[in-house]
Amino acid sequence: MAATHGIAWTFGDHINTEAILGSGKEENWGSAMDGVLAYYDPEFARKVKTGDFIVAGRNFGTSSGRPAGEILRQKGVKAVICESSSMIFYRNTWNIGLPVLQCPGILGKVKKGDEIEVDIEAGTVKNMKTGEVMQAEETPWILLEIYRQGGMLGWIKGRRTEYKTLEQA
Amino acid sequence: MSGQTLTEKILARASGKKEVSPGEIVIAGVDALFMHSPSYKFRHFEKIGGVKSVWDGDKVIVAAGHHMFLPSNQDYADAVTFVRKGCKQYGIKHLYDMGTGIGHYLMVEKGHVWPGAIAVGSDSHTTAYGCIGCLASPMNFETTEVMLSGKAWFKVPPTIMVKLEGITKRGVSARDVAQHVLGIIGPDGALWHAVEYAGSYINRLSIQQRMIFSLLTTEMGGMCGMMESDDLVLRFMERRSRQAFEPVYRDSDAQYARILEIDVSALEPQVAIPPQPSDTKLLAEVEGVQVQQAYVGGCTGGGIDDMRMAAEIMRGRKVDGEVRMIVVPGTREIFDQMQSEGLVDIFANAGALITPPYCGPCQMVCVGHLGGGEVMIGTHPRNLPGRAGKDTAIYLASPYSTAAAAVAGEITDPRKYL
Ligand code: SF4
Repeated sequence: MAATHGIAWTFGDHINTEAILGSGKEENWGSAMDGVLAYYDPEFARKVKTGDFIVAGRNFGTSSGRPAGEILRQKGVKAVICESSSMIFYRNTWNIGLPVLQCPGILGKVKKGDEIEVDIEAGTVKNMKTGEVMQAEETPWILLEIYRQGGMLGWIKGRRTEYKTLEQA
Repeated sequence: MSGQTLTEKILARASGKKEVSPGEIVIAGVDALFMHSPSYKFRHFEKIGGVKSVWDGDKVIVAAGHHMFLPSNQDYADAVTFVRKGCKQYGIKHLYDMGTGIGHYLMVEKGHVWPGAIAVGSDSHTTAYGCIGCLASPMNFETTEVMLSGKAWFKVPPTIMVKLEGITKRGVSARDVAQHVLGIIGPDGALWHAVEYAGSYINRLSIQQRMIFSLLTTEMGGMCGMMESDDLVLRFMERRSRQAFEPVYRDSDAQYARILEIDVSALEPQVAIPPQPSDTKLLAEVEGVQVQQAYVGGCTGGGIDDMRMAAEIMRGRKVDGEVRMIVVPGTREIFDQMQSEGLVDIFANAGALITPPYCGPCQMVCVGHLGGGEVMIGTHPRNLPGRAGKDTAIYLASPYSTAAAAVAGEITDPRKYL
């Protein structure tokens, strides 16, 4: 998959999943869409555009295991690039089909509103203003495979014969 | 071959390897899969199409009554109906319905996990079952796949060893010690790591009190948090485990990323201040903060020992007129034990509200919502933004300190009531 360009929305450390997808909203998705990250940046839910990126600090997506990445994907976010990511959020979000790159140092190199270019397969992030390229940590091979199938559901469907629990055509 | 940690040994055994090392990706067979609400996973099943059943109906456990003891609106009621139907359809044999309690206590109490087992769960506090020597790790979205395959992948974590020695002062509980450790390690100090707890302090604790440590490991970012099983665990398991098992023990020359040695004997009561569970302070630093709600319960405070500690403070006293005190046992078994020990009467006479077992107002999805501007103190694990509605503040503390705040109307040292 080719590199994509977009605008960065920046957030600090330890952004928790409750602040992305509010408690009790899992069954009421519509009302959750307006509150995404509002605690940290009230503009985000209103102004984020398809193709934008989240650039964040340490431990992004900490706390609850709810699939908060899904609401970011529906908001149009193309990838999350953070200093580090909570394990559950990281695994969930790749499986949802939205990549999360752990890229130490990123928050010091990208400011809110900067245009960046992200290559998921290569794990690189380029700041278009400064021209600087940063290399993210290696993504576990299994997550890249899942991502290439469009996420977990596509991955399961693509390997259907491996499951005794599924009816075979 | 260098020595292996408990985590490494369990992962190696479950993935059919002799040894594993940090960073490696392994695929392991799963002994138990916990979910509080598999509703969107069942929707995944519909999208996949042709799902006959889960891989093993005996190993999938659903705690539909985890977040609510009864549904408070039709959306919730419909969600539970959908879950009940799905469990039948896909052959899931263990459904803990309304009022049965918090899934994490139930998993251990009902023997769905055992020493040396691997469990995954859709709740971030799935690390809880480490208290009996089970490698338990949270994994939410992917549980759909685990339900179909019975397998999960792990990135073998480096391990942090936390050794706890000594005896705490009177009025200082396991929660205070765990809160102190969480404060030292911090919200991401164990990110992508395993944490193993050992030492004479841990071995003197009950299983439910050990669970506070394994469970709060999630608040440090940990993949799992566990202790070796000892005689107490093995005796407990004799009556409960659903399967014969062979426990796993660490090698004496295991390699750790970090070793933390803590003497608990001088520790004072601790508290987490908003908005992070790991923002640990001495309780003395926040004395005088007024509270409107005091909550004894949750997966780090709904155990029988927690109830005993809170009751010790409440005996013969009254809840302050400006405070709502909510007491929620973790499971029915704990509730029964409270009744037989007379604890229910103590709380009722004090003016506390007692609800059936469930997560309580840890997340405001059933009853006990806070109003804007209100402050709560509780024994549950979390106080993060978005958890309890707008403009609210949550302090986390021991059952002693929470009960003391209910009596005083403000955060205060519980030892004056002991
Ligand atoms: S008590 Fe709170 S933190 Fe614990 S499992 Fe329930 S909702 Fe989660």
